[in-house]
Amino acid sequence: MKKIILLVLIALAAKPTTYAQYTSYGKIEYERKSNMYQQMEDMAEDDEDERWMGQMKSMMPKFFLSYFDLEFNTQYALYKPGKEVDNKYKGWGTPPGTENVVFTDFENKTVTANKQVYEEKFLVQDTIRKLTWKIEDEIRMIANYKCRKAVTTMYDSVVVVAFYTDDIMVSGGPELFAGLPGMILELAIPRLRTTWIATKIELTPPQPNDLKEPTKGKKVTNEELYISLQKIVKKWGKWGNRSIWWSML
Amino acid sequence: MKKLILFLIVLSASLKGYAQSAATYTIKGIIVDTLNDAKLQYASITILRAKDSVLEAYTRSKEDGTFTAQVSDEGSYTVLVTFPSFADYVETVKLSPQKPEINMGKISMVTRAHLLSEFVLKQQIAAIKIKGDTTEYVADSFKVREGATVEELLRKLPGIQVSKNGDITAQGETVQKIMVDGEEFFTDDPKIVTKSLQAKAVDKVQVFDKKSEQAEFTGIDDGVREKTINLKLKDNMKRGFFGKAVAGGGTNGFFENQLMLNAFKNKRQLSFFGIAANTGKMGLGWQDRDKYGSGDNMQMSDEGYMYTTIENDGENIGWDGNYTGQGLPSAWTSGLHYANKWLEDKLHFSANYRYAKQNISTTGNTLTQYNLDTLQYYNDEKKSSFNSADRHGADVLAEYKPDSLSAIRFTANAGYKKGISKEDYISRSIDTAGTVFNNNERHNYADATTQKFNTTLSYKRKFKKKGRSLSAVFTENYNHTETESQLKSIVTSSITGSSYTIDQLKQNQSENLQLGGTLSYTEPLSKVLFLELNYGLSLNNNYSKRFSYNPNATGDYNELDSVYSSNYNFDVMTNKGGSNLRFVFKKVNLSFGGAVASTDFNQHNNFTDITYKRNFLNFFPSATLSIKPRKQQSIYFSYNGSTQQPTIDQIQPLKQNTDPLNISVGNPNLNQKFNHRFNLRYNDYKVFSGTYTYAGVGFTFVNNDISQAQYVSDNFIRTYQYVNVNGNYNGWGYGGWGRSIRKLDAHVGMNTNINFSNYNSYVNYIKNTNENRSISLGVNGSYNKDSLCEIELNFDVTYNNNYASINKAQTNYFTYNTRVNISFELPKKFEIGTEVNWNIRQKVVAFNNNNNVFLWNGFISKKFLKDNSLELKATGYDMLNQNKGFSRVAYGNTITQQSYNTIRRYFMLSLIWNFTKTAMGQPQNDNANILISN
Repeated sequence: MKKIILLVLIALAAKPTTYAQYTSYGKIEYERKSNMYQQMEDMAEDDEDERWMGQMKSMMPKFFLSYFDLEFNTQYALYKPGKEVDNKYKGWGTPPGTENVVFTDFENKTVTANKQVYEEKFLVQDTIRKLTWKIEDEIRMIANYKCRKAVTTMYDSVVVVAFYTDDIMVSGGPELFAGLPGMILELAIPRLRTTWIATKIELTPPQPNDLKEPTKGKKVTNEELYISLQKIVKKWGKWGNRSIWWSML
Repeated sequence: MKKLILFLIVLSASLKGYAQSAATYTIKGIIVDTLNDAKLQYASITILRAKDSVLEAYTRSKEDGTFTAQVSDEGSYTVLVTFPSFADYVETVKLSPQKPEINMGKISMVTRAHLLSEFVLKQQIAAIKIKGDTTEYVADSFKVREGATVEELLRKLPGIQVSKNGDITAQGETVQKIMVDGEEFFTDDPKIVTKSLQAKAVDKVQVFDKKSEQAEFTGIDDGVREKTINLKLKDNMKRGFFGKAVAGGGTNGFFENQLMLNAFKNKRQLSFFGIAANTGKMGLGWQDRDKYGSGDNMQMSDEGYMYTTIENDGENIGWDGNYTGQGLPSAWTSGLHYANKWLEDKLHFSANYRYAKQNISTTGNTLTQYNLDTLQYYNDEKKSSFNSADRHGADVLAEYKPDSLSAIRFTANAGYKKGISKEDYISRSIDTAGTVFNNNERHNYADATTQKFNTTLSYKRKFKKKGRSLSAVFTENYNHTETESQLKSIVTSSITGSSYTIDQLKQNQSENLQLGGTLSYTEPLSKVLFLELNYGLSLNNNYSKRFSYNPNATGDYNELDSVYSSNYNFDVMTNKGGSNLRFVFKKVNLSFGGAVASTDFNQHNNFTDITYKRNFLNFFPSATLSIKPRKQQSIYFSYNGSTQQPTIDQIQPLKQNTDPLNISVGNPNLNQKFNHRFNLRYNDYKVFSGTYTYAGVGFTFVNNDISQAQYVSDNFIRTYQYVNVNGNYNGWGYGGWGRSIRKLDAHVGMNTNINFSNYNSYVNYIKNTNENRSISLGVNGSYNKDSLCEIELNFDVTYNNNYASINKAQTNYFTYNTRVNISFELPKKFEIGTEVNWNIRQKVVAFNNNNNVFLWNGFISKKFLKDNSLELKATGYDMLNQNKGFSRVAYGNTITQQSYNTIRRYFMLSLIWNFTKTAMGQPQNDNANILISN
């Protein structure tokens, strides 16, 4: 009997990979959810605006939802618009960034992103963004993955909260957010009243053709885009900075 | 030896650091599973700066369990090792130049132990409700000091403990999430929300076990629970009032006084306004309408555009509440508005009442040139009139949206108007040589009352299936007008010297009832293809009684003059059914289809008891195409066919003698007209360069257009009747371009307009084709420096060309319009501004009087009080006393030029007070914003 137990133990020991439940490729669906009511309130400059917003609210739903897919393996990741949903926010009411495509090359530490900013389609080519992440001890389960909280601040004041999992061995995430020890499954930017949460994870390897780098658009770096946006939003009041943050996600 | 190695290591490290100032410090180790003594591959190793937990580096263990992580600075680091289903391993290491490499050796991971404990404390207090697995506390039931934070409130709640460092325990478990109105990331740091939010702002505290995100999305319960507190905020508990009071008095008896007040409490609004002015101010401008009037009427189209309908207090009132008609107006206008919302805003109700008294006195001169086949003649008419009317109006709006898919909306408005008018005319017919043929002097005094009552009821329903929708709309419009007028008129022929008089009492009564219902249904045939079906039935019933009485021997008006009297019914019933196919692609939207309508005319002459019935069957094709090549750019094309019914005034067999030199005769045989309308427009706005471009062209071709046939007698008495003609069309084009010059805080632009039309009519049995063309070009520029200085310049020139085929007469003239608007903010809260509106109208041969106007206005104002709420303003209107009322229209074989009295020079001193008092129930969102700005 003892021998059998020993045998079992040896067998277990000999196959250490059995408990390595790591994910190194797959497809994550993120739900981007923006609280439009709060955004309107943030935008109101005075009582008059507020009254107008009140009328808007009575006609529009509270949340704007959009979906994005992130397909990844250890080399590349491609973040692009996912399933389409019908919503009432149309035309000028649509929040920005719904057409963003981000290609990340983890080996060369570069990103190529397609961003439609107003009439201009940009091709942002840059290195993977480096942010100073503060790791906190808060843990939560997202899509059955154990995630840890990390917080950073962009543009001096915009707080970004991310929950990443070590169990996905790819340091990616939605939009241009990356550089944490594992995959970001939840992202929240309170200032933009918006969260991205992984709602579905499929463990299927992406086909080589799936992970294609975007090529079209006006080539810029993140810095160049930031400078050109700052010029145009000068007289835009409260919307000005927000417009930049949305464009620089 | 050891020392040497160390030295070498330090040297190499420092050299490396010098070369690229990159990772010089190394942490090494090997990750093993203690129980099985196995090496763990792919374990995540995260290196954080110990002092602030900032992520410094991360790596994964290799196949043999080893890892190497590098950091760039010396110091204490926290090493965090994680591996699925193992407990996290945390250790702090210290790196220094003396110890640039740390080998942590064997890091043993242990499998996680699960401790499940559940302790539910149930306590029943009136202020605590337990709904399912949610415990709800009514915040106001627990007394806290003024200005207390949510944390203090939580301490008071039974079953909740707050530790010294702010950790919250509810029902024995640590609270994982604190949400505000269901939002976790209500502020940048959810942890301090309890410290920053005021207790007063909270309506309810809800404690529950939140399912994991996974379980919420999939609906499959994975058993994971997080103890969660949700702080439900009170509705924006605002209560207070704001308003505006304006008192203004000026030279020549001009005045403009306004009082507006809006008292609100939560969602209930009660507002009042009153305006008394003879400066042309007759109603609320669009901004004040939103604050004090029925501004909560906004609706959204399916395309996502907002629109609102405006109920006016009378004719000729512009969007800014100013009079746009002829003459001098005095008006006293007031209104009451109530609006409220219930059932979490699902039910919305508003009601309005308005009263207005309007007096308008007009004097003017109308000169008309008539082109006949062999000659021209003129009609010169002098008019003096006074109109006074009392108007009452009331409307209600109720809207109920039980869920996000359906909406019921009901509106009703009723109006009552009682007015008098006194009109005195002197008119003459003159030939080109200046010979007077006819003289007419007439006086018409009328009393009129109008009642109207309109309702709409609509039900819209969407379905779960995307694109499927149903809508039913019912409308009712009722209008009843009664007029009694006294006409005294004398016509003298200068040629023969003979004259005749008209002395009649006219009693007119007209009634119009329209009922309509439409039903439409949309069904998605595929993801991009939709089928629309619609059916509508409409009734349009008109009744018109026009009786003219001559006096009998004793002077009583009781002898009916059958020539100038009629009693007539005109009923139209339309049945219309159609369908459309709509293709919806991302950038292209195409729809086309058609409808068939059967229209029945039922005309009944109540004098002769003769009924005349007709039926028209029409096909209405339609197509629209919209393309959005990119954001802020759109191309739109549409074509549609539509019919237009003649009005009862055009169709009623009645001869009218109110103007004895221009007699109209009704035509009961008039057919409906059919319009083919084409429309193409383009819009583009580039945000980066601040450039906009727009252009559009349109063309309307009319079959059976309703035009005039006129007969002018030898002594220039004109009789006209409405008849159907073919070949009428009109077209237009417009375009504009502008861009901002950011460096100069300026904007420049230009625009153009083109109009042309071809209008057929009959003059003395000869077909006359009237061609009208006009083209205008404009340029504009503006400068705006931080609202301290604003300058606006506009200039446009228009060329008009009119051709009448009957005598081949051409009328050509230019008009020029220059507008300048300048305002400055001066120190000490002074503001100064001026405005010039300069119109130059080229004289035409027929009318050689000077019609140029140079209108110059200006103001100077000073604001008082800390919040600038009090303003003293001196205004000068038409400071050079140059204003004139003027219009020129070419239509058919006529060219008409009107000049009339209008408001001229006055100076006014006004005191404006904007007052507001808001008792904030609590600071709610402001609080959250303060938090963010910190």
